[in-house]
Amino acid sequence: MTDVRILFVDDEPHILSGLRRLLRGQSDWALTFADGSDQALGQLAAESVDVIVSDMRMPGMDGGQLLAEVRRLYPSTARILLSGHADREAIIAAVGPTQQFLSKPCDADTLVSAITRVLAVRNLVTDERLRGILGDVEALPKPPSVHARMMEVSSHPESTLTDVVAVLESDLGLCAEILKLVNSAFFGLSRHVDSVERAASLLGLDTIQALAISGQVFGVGANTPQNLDLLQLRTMGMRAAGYARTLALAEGWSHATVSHCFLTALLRDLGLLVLVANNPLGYDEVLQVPEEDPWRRREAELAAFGCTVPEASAYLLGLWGFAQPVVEAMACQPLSLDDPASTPMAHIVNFAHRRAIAGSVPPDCGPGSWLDEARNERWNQICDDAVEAVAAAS
Amino acid sequence: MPPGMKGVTAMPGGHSFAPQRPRPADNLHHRERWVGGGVWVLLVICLLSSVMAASAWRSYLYTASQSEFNSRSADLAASVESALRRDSDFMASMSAVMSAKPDMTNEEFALWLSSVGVTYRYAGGIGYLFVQRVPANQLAYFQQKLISDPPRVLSPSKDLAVVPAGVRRTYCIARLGLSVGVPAENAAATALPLGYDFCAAATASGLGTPFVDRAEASGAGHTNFTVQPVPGVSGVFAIAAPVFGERADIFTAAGRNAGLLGWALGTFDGDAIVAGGATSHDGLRVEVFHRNPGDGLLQVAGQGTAATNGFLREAEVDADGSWLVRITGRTAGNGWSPDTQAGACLVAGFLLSALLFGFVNLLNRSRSKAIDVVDETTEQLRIQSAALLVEKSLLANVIDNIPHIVYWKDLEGRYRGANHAFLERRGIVAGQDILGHTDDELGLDDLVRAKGRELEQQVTETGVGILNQHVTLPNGEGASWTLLVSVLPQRGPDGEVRGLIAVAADVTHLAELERAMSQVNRLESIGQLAAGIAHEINTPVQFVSDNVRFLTESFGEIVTLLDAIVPVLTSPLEADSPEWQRAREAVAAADLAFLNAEIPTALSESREGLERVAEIVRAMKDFSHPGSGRVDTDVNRALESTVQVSRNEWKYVAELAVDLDPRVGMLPCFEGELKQVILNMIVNAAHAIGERRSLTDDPTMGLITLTTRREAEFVTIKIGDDGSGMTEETRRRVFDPFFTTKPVGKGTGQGLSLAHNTIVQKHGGRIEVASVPGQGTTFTLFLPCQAATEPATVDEAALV
Repeated sequence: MTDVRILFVDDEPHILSGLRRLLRGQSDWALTFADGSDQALGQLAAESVDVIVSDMRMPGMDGGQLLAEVRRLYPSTARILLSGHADREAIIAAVGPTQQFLSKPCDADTLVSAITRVLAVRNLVTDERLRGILGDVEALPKPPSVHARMMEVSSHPESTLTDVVAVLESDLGLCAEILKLVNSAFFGLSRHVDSVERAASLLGLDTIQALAISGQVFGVGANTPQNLDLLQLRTMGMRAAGYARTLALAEGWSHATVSHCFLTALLRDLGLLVLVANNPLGYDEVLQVPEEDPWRRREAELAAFGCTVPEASAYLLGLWGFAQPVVEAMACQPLSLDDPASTPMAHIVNFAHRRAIAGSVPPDCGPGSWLDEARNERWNQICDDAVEAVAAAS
Repeated sequence: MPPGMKGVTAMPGGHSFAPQRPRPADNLHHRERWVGGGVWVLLVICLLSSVMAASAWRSYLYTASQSEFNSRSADLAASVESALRRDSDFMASMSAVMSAKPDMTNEEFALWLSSVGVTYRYAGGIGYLFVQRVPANQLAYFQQKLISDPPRVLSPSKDLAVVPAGVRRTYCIARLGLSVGVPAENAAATALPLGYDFCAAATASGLGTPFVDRAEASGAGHTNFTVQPVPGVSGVFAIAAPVFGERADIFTAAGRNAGLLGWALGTFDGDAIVAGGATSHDGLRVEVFHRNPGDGLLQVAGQGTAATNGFLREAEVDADGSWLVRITGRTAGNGWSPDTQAGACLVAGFLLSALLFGFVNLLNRSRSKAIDVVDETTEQLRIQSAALLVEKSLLANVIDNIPHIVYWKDLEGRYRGANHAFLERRGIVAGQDILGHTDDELGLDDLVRAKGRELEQQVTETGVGILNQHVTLPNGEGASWTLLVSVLPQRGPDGEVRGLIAVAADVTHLAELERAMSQVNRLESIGQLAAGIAHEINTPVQFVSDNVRFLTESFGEIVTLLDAIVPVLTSPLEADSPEWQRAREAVAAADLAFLNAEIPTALSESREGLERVAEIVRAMKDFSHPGSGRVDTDVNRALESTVQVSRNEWKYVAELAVDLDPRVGMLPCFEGELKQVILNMIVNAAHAIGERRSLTDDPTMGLITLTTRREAEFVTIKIGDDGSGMTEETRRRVFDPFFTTKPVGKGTGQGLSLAHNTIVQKHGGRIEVASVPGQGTTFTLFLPCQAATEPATVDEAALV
């Protein structure tokens, strides 16, 4: 295995030498250092780099500008911002091109684990071109009407958080974007977040509005392909996420795990937004296969896009620094029940997805599977109850 | 109000409106009525005077007329009488002649006339005589004709001539020419005698011919008449005798006309005058009456009735009283009658009275009008002066109650007024009058006085007011006052400075508040700096912690190495023993060269990082130190700490070159505020450079220079940048509060305003700005070396 190349950029040489000493134990990482943006771009031109870790404020071109340039020139390079800067405006300016944000002082484990996770998801998508496509994402495709409503809510001085949340929840792209912000240590909020509402309240109305107006996130994104039903996608995602949360709660899991289940189920088809936008015709092929048959669907996806939709989603979430269990649970979808990676969380996400598509899920248990028939039956019952409760409530 | 304040208000105490006095206008009104009555009395007097004057005038005129009439009528009467007598005589003679010789020819008659010497009788002014027989029924007509168209002297003749009748059938029986005493040359000039044609006219009128014309032609163009009464027709002769003035020159036309007084007429029937004639003459009417013994008075003249008023003279002509001459006249001469004149006089008097009355009345009316105006003006003045007094009292009260010190002086330094706050603050005893006295006379000699004199002197010399200067003074009780003093020149109408007005507000509380506020501001800016400072600290913390981690790991490796080596070193083992083997492997595994190279570097870099953190923390502490009043401050150090805390604000856009003059040393400063000012200016400089860089898209680092210099009286602090610079418009407004060119949310516009306040008002220094758009800006702060201008502040500083 060839060494992965990691480029650190900082105007403070002591930082670079400290990092060099710190990371000398990572034998399979080829570390390179640059004391400024110009030098960094020079090195990138000379040799491809897998991950770039840049300081924010530097004389001349700052970190945000550098990462934007890197995204433009080398979209497959994973981009991490490491900054001691707490200025909200500076961060907002850099949100667009930055995939992950780490704040100084950053301990060695955090840094190493962040880089490691990014490198790990790179195995999910091996095609360099596809990596480029996924890495180039800044704004996910969303219906123009949703974007317009988002801008309206953001610029209206009397908007409330509830108004903003209502708009955010109406589109999968917006959901993903706000969850990305909350889950990827931007603004120093590394939390387990299980709802858009919670994410929004953590970020705060001001920040969401400022982000929307700056255009760095919640942008209109690429044109939505004709054959992509964003509303359907969002409805399915929300429904699956609801089932996943309900089931995880019923299993009595920790709050963090419940959140992860919810996020994984919600964003399972996130990759589709990017993939279809780049290959609408391929998606036509995929649509020929009924959704109820996840394995055939998987084959079609691989044939059309070069990777499965959950893989692409997991890749994006990995780049964005989402929690590792989320990325892992998503990457193994659709779940092969004898897959050693089939954790209980992956089961729930899988179940919730299928349930959202087809209603009741028939037992599909392999021998020795954690998800036995009884549990399958119970989960169906729980979901039925939840649906009834919702129907009764409304 | 304390007694001492009496001087301030020149008001009579407890003033209210003046009590009501009888208004002078009332008297005027009385007089006006009285005068009005007087006018009427005057009118009556005038009228009465007119009546009396007219009456006196009338009686005077009457008397004068009477006497004149008397004398003139006597003359006239005498004249008429003599003429009548003469005519009567002549007629008697002629009748006698005619009766004696009834067939007498004209020639014979003329000879007779000559013989009786008629001409002589009339000589000396009497021209001629008509003798005409007039039918009785034509007598009145004849008389009237004579009066209306009297015979005229047409041509005097040398010889007695008879007027030819000729074809014109003139019945004038004779015409007596002037033959005697007429100069020959005049007589020759009158060749053509003319007759009187009354007879022809009488014939034509159908009255019949009273006389038979017996004329026959005679030689030399003369016609002879025979005057014979026509049988059956009774008739009379009429004589018209002209009456001339005594001295009329009959030989000139002017003399004749002027001298003609009238005509004396007589009618006779052959032997006696039977009727008198009448004529009017010179305003006098002359009537001649013949009184028949049997019939009484016969009036001859138609119009000759006696006048109903006027004067009357009747004179008997002959002894038997058969002839009467009556002369009547109304006036003496040609003027109006006394009655008319008296009437005119009366009318004139009345008119004059009316005029006088009107004039006096007009005068009176104007006068009363004038009085009204005066009256009204007086009333207005009274109201205005009352209002002014109230106003003045209010103003005095306002000034007195202003809680700030207010006083005003003349140019000699004598107080011209002061309010209560002044007296209280200056400890002036109640009742002591300060007006007109100087501070020295009042025994006021302290720091307040010294400071006051300094400001006053400055204003007096420059004529320019001092506005809102901060003055800090000990208040004598261990604390200090801060006053906001304004001294203004008081100018007269000509613009000359006449005195000074000083207002001082005690802003001690405000100054404290301000100090607190500026502390808050400083904390606020520390808060704003915090993000940058955090970054400044994060960076060293990042690499120090990386290095420590590295050192920890390295130490672990070294310990492992030592664990392997130490047993070998401490025991006499063979070189090929397993221990030696392990030691050799451990040495080979340990990257000692790397550790040798890196550990010292890591340590020194860490030390440097920690020093940097310490330095930042020290600067933070230093910067956030509020200072306490104006104390001696190491200006250079203050600047250095400011540069340090603001590093993150400028280091990405500019280099900062510091050039500090060690001679600057200690300077009395409000340290915290000074640092705040420097910080604001450094941040502004960095922003200006950032703006220049983004505008020109030129990533070159800018340069901020910070220079201090000690000069004779000032320490200068110069903050220069090569940023975007300012336009003249901006440069003029930089110190205005809330003026900013930065986008909303970036600047509050208070930084430089605060700087101005600090440097100029608090330190008594000044700020100069030089700027070229596109090239940069330099602010130069001048801080006075000694707080000599504010001696009190040193004391104050010691007290605090």
